[in-house]
Amino acid sequence: MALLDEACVMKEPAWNEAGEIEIEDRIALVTRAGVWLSGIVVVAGALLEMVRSKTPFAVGEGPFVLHAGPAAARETLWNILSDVARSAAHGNPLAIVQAGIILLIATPWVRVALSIWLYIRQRDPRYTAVCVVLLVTMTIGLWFGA
Amino acid sequence: MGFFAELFLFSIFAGVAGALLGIGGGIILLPFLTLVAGVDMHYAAGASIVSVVATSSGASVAYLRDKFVNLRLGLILNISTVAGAVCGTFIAGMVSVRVLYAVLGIVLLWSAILMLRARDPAPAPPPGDSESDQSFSDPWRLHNSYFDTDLKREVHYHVQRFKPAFALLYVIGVISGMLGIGSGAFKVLVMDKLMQLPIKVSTTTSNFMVGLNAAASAGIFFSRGDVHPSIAAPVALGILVGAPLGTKLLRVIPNLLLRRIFFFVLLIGGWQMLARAWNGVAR
Repeated sequence: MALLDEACVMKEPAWNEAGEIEIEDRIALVTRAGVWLSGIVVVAGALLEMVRSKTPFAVGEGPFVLHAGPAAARETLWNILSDVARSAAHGNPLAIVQAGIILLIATPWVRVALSIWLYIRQRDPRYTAVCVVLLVTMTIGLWFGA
Repeated sequence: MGFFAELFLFSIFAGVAGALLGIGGGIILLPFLTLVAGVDMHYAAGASIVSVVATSSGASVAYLRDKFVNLRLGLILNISTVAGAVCGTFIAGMVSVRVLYAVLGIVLLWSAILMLRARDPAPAPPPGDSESDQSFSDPWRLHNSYFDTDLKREVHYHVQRFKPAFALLYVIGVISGMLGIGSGAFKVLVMDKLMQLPIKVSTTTSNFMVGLNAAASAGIFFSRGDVHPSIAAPVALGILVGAPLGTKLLRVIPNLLLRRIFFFVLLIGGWQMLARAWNGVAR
């Protein structure tokens, strides 16, 4: 393994410009932060659920406050998000878990939004436009799908 | 509690496989959740979409840092797949679901046969691709390189047939949007077969892409109430443990072996699709 790690350090960024390397590293860094944050929130909620609940992680029938199951089918995405946030703030363990999962789903969005900013800073209009179009397309999908 | 542990442990495996193959892991996780663990179909689909995001984000950290991912190519191609999926969601129901599954199943099985005829894992820069393709690929700086730990050298590659690949991914996006399924396996196939990229570039770039697709459609699953924390939590945590392990495995795995594993996944995926076409399952 040590040999392998050495090999990875030795590779030179020949084909790319120096700035591009930086973009990939920055996106990796922010993605890692998002993954850790969401992971910690999910674990915290799960631990709380194990301590507090008599029947931890029951799937249940719904309707319940977390908007999973048939009861949620008519809700708007915005209502669901704000309800999860409110319940999590009140210390509902499963709501905290759900909030962690929402954070996790947000990480790819952050990836694209961050790319826009990084390409603007590099004065790269082509890839700024690519990322803007991508973000708009994703938002349209979320907006009309949800 | 045993149920939580069961889902967690299997999800570690799904995370390793999903990260290694760039397919997000729905192909592996969904049958396990519904058939083995007996999870409700809706909750299984919700947990599956969470697992795709988790695999993508969990593995992208290492793949971006190691420069396996062709970031620019991934961003551009994602426009095609996301836009296709959005359009597909709108026109869902206009074409028979069984016909679509049959088409996808046949494509996957046929690709499996192509995948078995493995070619040189590090293709030489193209001798003669048409000028129109070059004219797109060059100013957008899509050609790239990565350090292949299997061959122990820097591998330079050219992106070929960009336009047909972009169009094909749109069509695949439409079909997957109509069916509400991911399209990771097809992304890898298009990059590998059509664009002639090295297999590790194809799987890692696909891994980067599937997360954006899944994140865009996750809202649909949330508003349907399909994401249940009791099921999504063990799955997400297992994947977040497994995906980074998968990235370590990708570094050391021989290119040819990766192709062979992908061959089996195509067989499983193709069989699943044909089974759905045959049985007429709604999802």
